[in-house]
Amino acid sequence: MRFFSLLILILMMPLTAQAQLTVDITQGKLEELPIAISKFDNEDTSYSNYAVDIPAIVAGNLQRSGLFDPLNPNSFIQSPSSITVDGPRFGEWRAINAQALVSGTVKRGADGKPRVEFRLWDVFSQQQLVGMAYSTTPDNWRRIAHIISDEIYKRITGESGYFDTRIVYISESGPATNRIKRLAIMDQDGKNHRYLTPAGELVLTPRFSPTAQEITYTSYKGGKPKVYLYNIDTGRQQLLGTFPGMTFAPRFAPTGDKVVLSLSKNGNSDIYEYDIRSKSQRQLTTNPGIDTAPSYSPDGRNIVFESDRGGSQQLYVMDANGSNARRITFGKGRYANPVWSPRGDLIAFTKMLSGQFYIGVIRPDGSGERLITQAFHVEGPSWSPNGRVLTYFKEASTQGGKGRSASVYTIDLTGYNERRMGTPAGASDPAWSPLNP
Amino acid sequence: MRKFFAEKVQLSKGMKAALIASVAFHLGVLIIGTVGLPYITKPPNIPQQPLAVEIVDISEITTTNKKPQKAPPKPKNEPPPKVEKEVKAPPKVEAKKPPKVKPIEKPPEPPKEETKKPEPKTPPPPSEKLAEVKPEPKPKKEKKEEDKKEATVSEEDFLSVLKNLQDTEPTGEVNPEGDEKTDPDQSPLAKFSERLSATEVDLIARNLNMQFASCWNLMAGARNAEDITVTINLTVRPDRTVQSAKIVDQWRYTQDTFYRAAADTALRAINHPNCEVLDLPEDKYNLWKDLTFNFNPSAQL
Repeated sequence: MRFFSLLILILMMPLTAQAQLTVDITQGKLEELPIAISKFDNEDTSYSNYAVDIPAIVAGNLQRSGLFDPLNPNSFIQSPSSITVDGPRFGEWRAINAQALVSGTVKRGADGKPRVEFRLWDVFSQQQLVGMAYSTTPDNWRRIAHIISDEIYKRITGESGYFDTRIVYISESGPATNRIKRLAIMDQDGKNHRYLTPAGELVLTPRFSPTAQEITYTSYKGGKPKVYLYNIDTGRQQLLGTFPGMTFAPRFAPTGDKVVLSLSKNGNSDIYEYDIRSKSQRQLTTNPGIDTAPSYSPDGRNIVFESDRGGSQQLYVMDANGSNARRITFGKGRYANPVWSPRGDLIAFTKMLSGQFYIGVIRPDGSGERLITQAFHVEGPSWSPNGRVLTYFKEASTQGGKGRSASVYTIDLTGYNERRMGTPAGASDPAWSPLNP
Repeated sequence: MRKFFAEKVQLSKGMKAALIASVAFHLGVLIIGTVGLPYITKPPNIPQQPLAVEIVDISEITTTNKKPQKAPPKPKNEPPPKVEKEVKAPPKVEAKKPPKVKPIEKPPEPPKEETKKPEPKTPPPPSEKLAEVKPEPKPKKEKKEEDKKEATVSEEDFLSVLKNLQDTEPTGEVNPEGDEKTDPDQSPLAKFSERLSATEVDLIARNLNMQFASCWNLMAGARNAEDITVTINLTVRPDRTVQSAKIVDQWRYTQDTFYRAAADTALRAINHPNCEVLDLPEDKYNLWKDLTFNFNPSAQL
């Protein structure tokens, strides 16, 4: 009898469970997260400026990402020292519509160096989400702000940040007929700007190594375009290989030990792979069409490139050894400058259609093409190390159409939050570095 | 011979018991099949709704989850370039040594439902200070009806949040499974509708979606965001405020940073002031006192 009772109970259980109402929530909004970034509590007057400047940099970073809305500090009720002593009074932060709170302290560490602590709080759940402490030399304090920004970004979005990075680009100045192009580098927020090459050397297409403080780029030193390596730490330049023709459009492999580039010989361009350590080279494409602008997938197994082998300029993906090339774009217009996302899910490209330029993204299998920005001339996309943001340059006509002015922009993958970066002169061909070591 | 008969008698007793059990079991199955299983708890309220009285646009309701085919919304945020002006060029460009990093300890907190990550090492002083902090009691979730109205959103908010300047060309973006996912007949709601009318279920889903559209901040642009569905079990008070919310997949919450971020957005939505009082029919508490929400952004990404 017990058996039958049990059996009936078991049979009835699904009915009881089924009675729970289940609702699919499928509609949301795209809005910045309101975040309160308090001034840091200053326990040592010698570092009082850090208590103000570090939160300000963090707020600037997060605001530029387009995902956060740093609230006006004037609306904050609780003081930094009160947060340190009493902990956050979440009701007060909730009253100003903050959903997250950043607090911190600056003090002198045991070694005399500044020690910066920060905590990220979820105002609704009243929990600490992350807490870290950093110590460094006084002249390195900006990096602490960027690293804190990365930590906050990572905890809130689940993806690694991109604030502790740099951008290398081509600085442009002078008239259009005598353009001076120099290699320049700056932090992702525009600070710490510096020129890397002299004014008399025409340079193009700089690309960051994903693993080292090295840049590869094309230089017209000597008259012909050649691909060079530049070590940022030492300032040393090195010609990449001894190819029989013009080399251009270089890009590092994900491991950093190889470079793919284009070699133009007898009017035909093909893609080659160059091993930096062994200095060996290998031809990957042999098509009579123009094959150029190669870019590795993050796993190193595939290469995307542009080619006119099918009659028009389109994007192709091939295996890393050059085999199995297949076309992935079939839309109207011409496609160029493909760059594989560091997270592997998308390929960014430049598209030319009906006299306009676009920056777009497409999945590696050719599906999901999406154009996210447009201009008279917009080109050269480069991914942030987390694959969430693109940087590129736009050219606008000046002086009534006689001149051109180029600027570097960033845009979120969603296609919104486009921002122009401030540079001392015109800027083109930006390339994003990996996270600083 | 005697032994043989004894065994025969024993065998007959066993068969008799088995026969009784078998008959009882089959009778039980027959009865269950004929009259149905009884409800252990209070039987659900099955509304009797004559079709002729229903004055609801079914087609409008049942397509609330469908991805709109209209053009994407105008960019909300395309501000002019904003970069700090003082771009200085300090002499050093070499990568500076990274600062030493020390994780600081998480202060003790009141027990929460979410599983916490193992905490890094910590400097005692700040953690001790913060450890004394008592978390503020959560404000009572009393909400006026006016606030509920604010939760409604325009149709524009239902459009895809990913910008695409090229709508006319075929891009293969359309997910053929998108509509299937939101087909009410295929959803768990459909099963529940065996005891609720389909219209009522649709209405609840629609109202809650309208409400959460102003509370749930999507993870647009995040990797595979469209593939992450966060399931949260809710216990709701009679005043329609949330008593507790628990993420079902706790293991993934602690292991997968993307899932954790997505789950946090869902929790923030549930805690959002506009969604403190859920838009549910007040007279049917037994039907929604235990709710399950599946936060699935695929229709908009």
